[in-house]
Amino acid sequence: MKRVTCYLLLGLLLAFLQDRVAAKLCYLVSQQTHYRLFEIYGNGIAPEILVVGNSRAMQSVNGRIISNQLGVKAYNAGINGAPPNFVCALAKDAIDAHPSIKALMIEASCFWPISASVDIKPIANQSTRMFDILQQDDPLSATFIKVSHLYAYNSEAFLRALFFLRNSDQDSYSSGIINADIINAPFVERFAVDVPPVYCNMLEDLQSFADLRGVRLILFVAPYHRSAFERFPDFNSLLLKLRGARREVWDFSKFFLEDENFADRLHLNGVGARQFSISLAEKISASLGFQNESGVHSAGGSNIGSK
Amino acid sequence: MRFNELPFFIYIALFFVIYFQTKGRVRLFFILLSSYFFYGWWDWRFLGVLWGSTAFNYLIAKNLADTAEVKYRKRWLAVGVAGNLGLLGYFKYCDFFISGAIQLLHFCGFSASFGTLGVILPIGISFYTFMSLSYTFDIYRKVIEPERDWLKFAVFVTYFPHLVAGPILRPEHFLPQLTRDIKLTGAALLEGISWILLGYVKKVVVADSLAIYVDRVFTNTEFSGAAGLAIATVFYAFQIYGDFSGYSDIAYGIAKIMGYDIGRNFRRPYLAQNFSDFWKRWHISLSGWLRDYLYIGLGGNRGGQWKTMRNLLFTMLLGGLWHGANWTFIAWGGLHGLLLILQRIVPESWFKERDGFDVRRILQTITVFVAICLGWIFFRANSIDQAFAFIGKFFTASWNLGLVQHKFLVAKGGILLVGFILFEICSERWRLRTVLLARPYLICPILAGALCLVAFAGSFDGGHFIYFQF
Repeated sequence: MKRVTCYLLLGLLLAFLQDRVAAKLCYLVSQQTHYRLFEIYGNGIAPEILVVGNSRAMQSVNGRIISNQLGVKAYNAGINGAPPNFVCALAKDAIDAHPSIKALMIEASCFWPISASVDIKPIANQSTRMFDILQQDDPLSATFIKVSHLYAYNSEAFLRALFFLRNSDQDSYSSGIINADIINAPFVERFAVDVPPVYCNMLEDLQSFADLRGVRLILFVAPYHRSAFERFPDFNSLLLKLRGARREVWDFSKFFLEDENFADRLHLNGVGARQFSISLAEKISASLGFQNESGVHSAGGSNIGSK
Repeated sequence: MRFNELPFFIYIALFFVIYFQTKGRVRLFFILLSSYFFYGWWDWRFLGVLWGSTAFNYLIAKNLADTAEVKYRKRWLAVGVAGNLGLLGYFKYCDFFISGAIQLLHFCGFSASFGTLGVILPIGISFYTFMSLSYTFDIYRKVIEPERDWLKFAVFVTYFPHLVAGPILRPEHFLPQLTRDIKLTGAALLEGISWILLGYVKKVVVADSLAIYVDRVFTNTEFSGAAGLAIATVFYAFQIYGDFSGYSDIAYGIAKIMGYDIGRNFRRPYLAQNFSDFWKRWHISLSGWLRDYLYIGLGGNRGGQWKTMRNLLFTMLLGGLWHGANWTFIAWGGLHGLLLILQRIVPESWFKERDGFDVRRILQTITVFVAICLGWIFFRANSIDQAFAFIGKFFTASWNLGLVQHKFLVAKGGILLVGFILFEICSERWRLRTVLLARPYLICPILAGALCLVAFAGSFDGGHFIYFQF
């Protein structure tokens, strides 16, 4: 009986050591990956333009095209399902980690009031902002990652990190084209018409943070498929709410009319992203002063802020 | 209370501390009270049903044993069977039959002036009712003597490790164990903890991880291609196995530490070489119950080929119905009945059990697995229509792997499955108990490995055990 108890205690000790060693290995892997969620916390990217938001930001903006057009590095840090608190924390962490950032572009749809979430356990031990979000959203997980460091890497994000060890995830765009089935499928729910005050406060806070560090903050709305507008009873009021007193909002929501640029109602495909990014680069160049290759300044969408 | 929630860990730790401080009747009384607490945690109102069922079966058995005349014994048996089946019928099948009657009336052009009752199913009722039934049958057949001690009988029915999802205990196996005064031994602790760890790995790492993909595909069947549906089917086969056998392993491990043997409920079912072999490995306590009390009761294989086939089909249909009041379960049971019949029709060599791992055996095992997976589609589907639509897509939808959604979930599930299948093949050759008792120090890496695996690959959103609903 005593012998078995000793074995069990030894087993627990071994588990603790194994946990720490394996977590350290996972951390080292996360430092090597080109997956955006981890790469943004490394120091190898040094972008001047940072794009953040949810899957619509991720699928709509091709950072390489913008970089080529403007001659400055643009990095797309859009993450699937990103909610506003996560987007704001990620933007702040990125600005802290990369003083090179001059412009922060936020795809506005992450502020629409829908339920979304990102598994932030893998980065919660690296960022106090992310840890605070985790503690607020999932206190049990926040406690567990302190007990088991390995548990922090129990996440789909870490699987993605393994997948992007050699190639960059900046080139992952959808190749599909929207079809009649998707266009005609009914929406499960309509979005609420108002941006909650708490989201507006988050945005204000981020704006102050960016202003303090000399970073220009711009909200933009990536293109929607025409059929998606059934979902927005009062789209402009959402944009005006986000604009606040002084913020620029670039509305590209009706930028494309053709189906071939869309993967589904909410997301562009690779072709659409390429075309849209060229226009976005022109708009950035015109508004922010980054000079593009041709030297042409042209606006691709209407500027709510200037209306 | 579920085995995978925080209150249970506190409960079981306190339980063991007190359990080993007690002995004799005090210990039995403590087990009984703890079991009621465990059951009442879910919904205390259904404790009344459990008490009622226990008292009813205790009295029936007592009267059966005290009655010598066959005529009266038959009457007591009829009362016992009617009472148990009545209880099960009311809570489990009442709404099913009422809605069936309403549909039938609609079909005949009448409108029904009544509706379903919305009866809530008490957790574990199928398990403890079947245990009580086997007890009554065994007393009637004079296979066992009735348990005169109400406390022991109540512990037999309500013993918490098996109470909500089995295994279905046999009285002749479990009741004699309650007379022993057991002390905690190193071997029992070692074996018990190993089974508990294995159970949690099966549940939290395998079953709950696979469940995420399975749920997404079965909820939105229309968005998946044939390859995605096939992956979801295989994942579900291992999800339900990991879920149910994980629960059974945890229950077995807890009982082992307490010093009791409640029997193994699974024995690597997907390595079965034929369909009857599968039922000797899957939910062993239920298949054994159905064989002993239903199949043999109907005449078994003594009445010629046709009667044997009829008995097989009927037994499996009722086995399906035992799982729940839904046509999908009946279809699942029916399909297994047909597969067992098929095995009797085809040449014996086709499904002969073989030793070793040669190509023939592997092909046989894969064939059996594919057929079983077909059954799982009915088991998992919400309706017969959904099951047929699901199967239909195997022939009409594209098998392009590029159309498979949630690729990272598929990748994770695939890696876990490869590991799990390798583990199953290894355990077919080497018994965990034998290995551990010979080399007890192996518990160190097993414990460390299991804890790290749960931390790194476990899914903690899973929630309930599938068989709780039965």
